[in-house]
Amino acid sequence: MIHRDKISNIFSAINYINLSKSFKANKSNDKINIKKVWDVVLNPTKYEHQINDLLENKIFSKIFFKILDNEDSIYQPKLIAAASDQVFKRSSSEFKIEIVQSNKNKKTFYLILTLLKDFKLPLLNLYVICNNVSLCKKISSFNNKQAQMILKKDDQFFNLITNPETEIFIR
Amino acid sequence: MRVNERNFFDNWKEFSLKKPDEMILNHYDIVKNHTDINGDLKHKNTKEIIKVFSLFITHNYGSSIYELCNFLKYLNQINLSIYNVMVLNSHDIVKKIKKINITNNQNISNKVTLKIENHLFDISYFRISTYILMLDFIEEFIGIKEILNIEEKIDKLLSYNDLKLISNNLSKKVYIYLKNFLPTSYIQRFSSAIGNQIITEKKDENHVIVSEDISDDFILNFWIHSRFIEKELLIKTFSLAADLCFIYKKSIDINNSYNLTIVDQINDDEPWNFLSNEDIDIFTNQLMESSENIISNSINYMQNLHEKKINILKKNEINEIKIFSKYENLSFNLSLTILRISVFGNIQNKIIEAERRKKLNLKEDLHLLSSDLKYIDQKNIYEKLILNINSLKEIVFYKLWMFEAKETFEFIKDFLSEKELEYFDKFLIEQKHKFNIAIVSKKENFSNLEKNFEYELEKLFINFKAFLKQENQISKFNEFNNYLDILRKKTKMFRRSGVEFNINNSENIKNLVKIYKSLNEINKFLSKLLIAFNSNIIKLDTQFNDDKTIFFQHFSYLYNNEEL
Repeated sequence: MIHRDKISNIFSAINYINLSKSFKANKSNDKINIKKVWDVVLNPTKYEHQINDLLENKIFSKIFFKILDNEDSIYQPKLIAAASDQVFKRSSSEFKIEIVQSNKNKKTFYLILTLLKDFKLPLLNLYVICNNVSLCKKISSFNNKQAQMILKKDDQFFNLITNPETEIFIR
Repeated sequence: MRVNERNFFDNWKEFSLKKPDEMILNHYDIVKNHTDINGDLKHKNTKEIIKVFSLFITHNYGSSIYELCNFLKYLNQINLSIYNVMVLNSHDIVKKIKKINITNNQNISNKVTLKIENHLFDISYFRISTYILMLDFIEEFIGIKEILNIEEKIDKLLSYNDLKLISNNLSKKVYIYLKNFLPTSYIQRFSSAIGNQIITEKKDENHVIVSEDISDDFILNFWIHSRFIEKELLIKTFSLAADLCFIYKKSIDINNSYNLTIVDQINDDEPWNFLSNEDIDIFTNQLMESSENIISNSINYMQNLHEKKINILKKNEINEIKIFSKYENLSFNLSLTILRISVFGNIQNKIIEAERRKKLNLKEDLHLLSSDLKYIDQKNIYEKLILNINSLKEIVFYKLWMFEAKETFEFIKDFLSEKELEYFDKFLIEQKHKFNIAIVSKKENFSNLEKNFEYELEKLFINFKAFLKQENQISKFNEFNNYLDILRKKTKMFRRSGVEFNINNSENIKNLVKIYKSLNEINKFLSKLLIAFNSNIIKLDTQFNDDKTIFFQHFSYLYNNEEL
């Protein structure tokens, strides 16, 4: 690098320092960064309408699942060799899920989530992810390690959670 | 009354670079506003953000990236992932590291050590805030994908050589990103314009640019010639052209002090050998120092007092010296430029104001303005200000004298005649002798003496006042005693809004001492500037007349579209 370029770099630095004191970025940061992935992990309902688009980005989904996988979340992988296209019971060493049809309304189902271990961190969200389509539901409070939520048969969440190809995270 | 509107015009576009739509500043602003996982501001120390930012834009990040890679490997060894660390502030990261070390029964100190093969690298906790700032800037510059790549590579690295390779590759990626858009930036085009102008004037393509190339004449020529560069770079105000040249001069000086070898640093196997942490710290401090200079501190203090309605200096007096906060010591080397900014800058302010009000009649205005603003008048303003400040110093000194503040000893020599100074020194020697005897006889230890020193100083001052009244001393300090008498009357007559300080308390003494010191600094600066005027400008009147022709012609070009 020639002498003039070095002076030029310092010249820019001093000017940038002076300008930075009153500079405000014009655009908000729409780039994907690690903070944003965390924000989506921690506040899935805030990104309800964007999450699937975001998961289409390979880098985003890679970090997203890495965080879910590693950061005190509990997980059930896809079911291998499921007997049917829809499964209503899934179980692992950490939690089990049971989906029961309502007696009064055939289109309504109850999801019963039972924790099989103690977890230090509060578990707030139930994520279902299949082929880069992700949905999330807030978990109502646990009572005796059990939480219930209502599902509608027409909901995409119902389709996903009963799909044996779906991975399930609780965080 | 002469009114200086410099403040009023400061924010007008003629007086500043256009708001740069610069990606680099966006990066800076985004990193500055990063939040941690709790939504709190992640980097709270703005000075540190600017320092790291400066390292990147001057391409001096080789050694810091190397440090960062060592830190990342350490995190990897203790199973802390990058994506985890990047949403924590430095304080929380240190807490996590300490917690892990306690769990692993390791000693807790102010640092941790990375070990790979025979390579040992100490990571001080206080450096962690810099590392996470660097990581955020790297994510901003080269993207999240690269962060993942780094993590994978760091995870797999087996040897110290691997670590060096990762560090060098990362530096190169940052360099490639920055080098592609920095030279095309709006700001760098001004730098190129100044550099080209120097080379043109020197008529030597191989000329090595030195600080002396930026002279008073060069700055004036650069302003005039800026219209030939390109339309976007036309510099309307002389003060902006001078600002750019002053910064360029400072850049030459900083570059010479550090002899930075950027490309070598990026390409070398061991770039960390180029700049030590200490060098980096001094270098970045120099880039930022403009707001931390003694003269600017003194002027800012006067301005702060004025804002609090304590008018030690009047508003117009502060306006006259504000220019020096900006240019500091360079003012002595380029004193003619300072005069040109003050005088012709003022005329240009008035032209711009008239133009905005659609009342500009350039020929008539220039004729009127040229008659009452001259270099000699400006010099007289500084001389008058020196006298006024001296008078203010006297008032402040007298107040401190009456309060019997021990700090008065610091300033008393400013008010003694040559002969009196000799007697004063004798008095001090005698007192010191007595004090030493007392120390020896008491056989006190050093720490006790230190504690007593403050008290002794106060006693010494009271002794001096008593000493002055002794019959055999009155004649020796006759001039000083008379002077005190004059000061008493002057202080009684002195009226200035907000300047009271009539109660003898520590707060008032503290303020008076600070005021005295600030006034002293301003006066020292102005006196030095007047000496510079005398040695740099042969005849103020002739110089003004020569400059007037050049400036007025250029004003005609700028505001009347008249060709030269």
